[in-house]
Amino acid sequence: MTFWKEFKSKSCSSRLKAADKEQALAEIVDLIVKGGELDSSLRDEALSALLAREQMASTGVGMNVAIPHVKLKGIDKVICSLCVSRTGLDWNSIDGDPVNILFVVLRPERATDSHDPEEHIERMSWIARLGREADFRRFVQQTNTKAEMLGLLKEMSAV
Amino acid sequence: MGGHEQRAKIVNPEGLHARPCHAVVSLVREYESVLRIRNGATEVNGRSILELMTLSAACGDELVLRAEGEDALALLEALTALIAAGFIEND
Repeated sequence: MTFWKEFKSKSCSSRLKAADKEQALAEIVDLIVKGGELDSSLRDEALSALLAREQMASTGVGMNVAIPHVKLKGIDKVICSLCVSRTGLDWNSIDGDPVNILFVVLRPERATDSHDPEEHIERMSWIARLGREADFRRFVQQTNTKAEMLGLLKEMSAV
Repeated sequence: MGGHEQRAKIVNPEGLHARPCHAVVSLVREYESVLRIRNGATEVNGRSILELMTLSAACGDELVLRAEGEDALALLEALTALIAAGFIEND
């Protein structure tokens, strides 16, 4: 599994500053734009799509993990972000617990040369396998740098 | 009491992705019974979204649902209906 390679350092954060769900999603989208993975012209659309997705059903899947993920017009490859909130965010999660670990996935609406839609379920399954691992959840919240976070993703990618 | 088993085929084109997993667990939480769901060789706790997402269940896959508890039959009936309805997805 090489999905860990889709997480670029500049799009990740080991210490989100946000105090709530809306701020967190905005902060993460802004990181992705600033990191160069998403054109600034798509910033508002990406954020709207993520917020709308939360309205349909919370992406707080339990165990302090959220997996906000949407299709987005205007991108031709998947953009992934891993972020940690030290304080915890109210995400209306299925188990009522706050969210500390966020996997954000923006994927193209259709197949492109760089994107195979059939990989989506496998990617989400890989993310879920990481999220359900108590060791991963514990270790990622103990990391101090983005390099450590991504190193952990790579190390545990075979779960 | 005792275990009951049903099979259900995934009919929605995008398979058992995050939103259907959420729909399953939201439904299951209305019941008391223990639920295990198997896809191929992989069996998971049906009350956990993260566990369900690891099944990588695609359209056409047949899930084996096993419930144990007083309301097992009611749970399985409701769950198989949800799956047959494609998790009531609009996209």
